[in-house]
Formats: sequence, structure tokens, C-alpha cells
Amino acid sequence: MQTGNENDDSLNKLLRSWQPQVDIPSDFQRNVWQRIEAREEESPVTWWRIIADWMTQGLSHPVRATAVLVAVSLVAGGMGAVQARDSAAALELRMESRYTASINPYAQADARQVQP
Amino acid sequence: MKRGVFILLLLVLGAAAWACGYSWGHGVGWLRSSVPDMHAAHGGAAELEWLRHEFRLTQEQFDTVRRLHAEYETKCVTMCDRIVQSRRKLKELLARKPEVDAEVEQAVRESSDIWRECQLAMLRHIRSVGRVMNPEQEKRYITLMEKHLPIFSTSDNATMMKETGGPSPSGMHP
Repeated sequence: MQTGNENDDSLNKLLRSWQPQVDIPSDFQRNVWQRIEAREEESPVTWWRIIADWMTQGLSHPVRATAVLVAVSLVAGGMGAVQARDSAAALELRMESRYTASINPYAQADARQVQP
Repeated sequence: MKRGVFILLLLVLGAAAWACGYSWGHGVGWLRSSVPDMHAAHGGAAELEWLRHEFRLTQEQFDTVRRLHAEYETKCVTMCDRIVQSRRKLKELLARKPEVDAEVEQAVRESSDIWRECQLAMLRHIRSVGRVMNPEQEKRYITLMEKHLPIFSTSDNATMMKETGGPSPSGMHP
């Protein structure tokens, strides 16, 4: 009876001796690349793809990677500041409404009648 | 640098930058130091804190404004009660009576009287608070406050005036 290792050895020998006759056209590789390029040209260039490509390329360039990090930090910081300003403006408006309602008996009567 | 690490670093840095920007915007840029007071204050105090911040009142001005506000608040609550009662009475009458008789007329007249009294009380309060401020603050305060007066609410007042001979009893929210 043959063991597992002996089976593997004979299979390996068989595979090494097997040489399939396949005719590969001489321009096979060139055709493959041409098809890949054609497919890439067909797909639309979108802004996010440009950014993604730029960022991916940036991984291999320390200067570009740093530029990406700085740009993202600046944009995120700016967005945070703008959001803080908006929430401040909303709060001030709310406070103004509350103050005017606090001196307006009609607004208070309306509020009281709305309450269940 | 691996792509995953780079993206993670990007996210962490972006979040940290956003938080810094937000806290800068809150603390330094637009809200200055009074916002924590506004958040901390409860009830009427928050509105008055807004007034102090908006018109940059001194402590002395603020104390006087607070006293005037407290005095007016009692009157305001009484007026509010009268408005609610008057509305209720008018609604009941209108639901009960198909015609506009003397009783309905009287209720509408009472409602108009309350409306007039409330306008005058608000105007007097606004002017007396304005007098506490310096001329520039006073002008800005009066302009800002008087535009909120029910008398300048244009929506349904014209219709109500035509029908009842008096202004809408519902003021800012007819």
C-alpha cells in the first residue's frame, strides 16, 4: 500500500512530465495590454477617481503623501470651524426668539395653548 | 507606507483637525466666552444672557435690565392669562351663536382691548430697557425688538381688522 507522500511524489513526477501543446499567438501579450488600455479609456474619468489615483500615487512619494495629509487637515479644520460658526449663529437666533417671546404675551399664550 | 495605514492616518488626522476647528470656532472666533453661559443658564436667564452678549451690556446695565425684565414678567403672565381667557370666551361664543350679536361684539371688543394693552405694555418695556443702554445699543435694541411686535405682524391682521373692526387677537401667530 502506498503512503500519502509516495502518492504526492508520483503526482509531481506526472505533472512535470506533462507538457501540453498549446499554440499561443506571438502577439498575445500585446493584445491583452491593448484590451486593458481600451477598457480603461472607455470608463469615465470622475473627480473621485482622479483624487483616488493621485492619493494612491502619493503613497510612493513622501512629499505628495504629506501634501495630502496637510490638505485633508486644513479642509477638515475649516469644516469644523464653519460648523461651529453655523451652530453659534443658530443658537443666537434661538436665543433672540426666546427673548422676544419672553416679552410677548401673545407668543406665551400661543405656546400655552399649544401645550396639551 | 501601506495604503490601509495611510487612509487610517488620514481619517484620524481629519477627525482631529475637524475637532480643533470646531473648538476654535466655538471658543475664539464667533461665540467668545458668553456661549457657555448661555448653555449653562436655564429658564429666563439664558435669554437675558443672550441680551447681555448681543448688546455687550456692562454689569450695571445688565442688573438694571434684569430687574426690569423681572418686573415686566409678572405683568406679561397676567396679560397672557387674559389673552387665553379672552380667546376661550370668544371661541365658546362663536361655537354657540350663529349670529354676531351684541355679546359676540363685546367679546371681540374685549379681545381688541387686551391686544392694545399688550402692545403698549410691550412697547413701554422695550423703550425702558432701551433707555438703560447707550444710544447706539438702544437704537439697535429697539429696532430689533419692535420688528417682533405683534402690531407689525402682517399676515392675517388686515383680514381680521376688516372682519372685526380690530386687530387679530393672536398677535405673532394669527
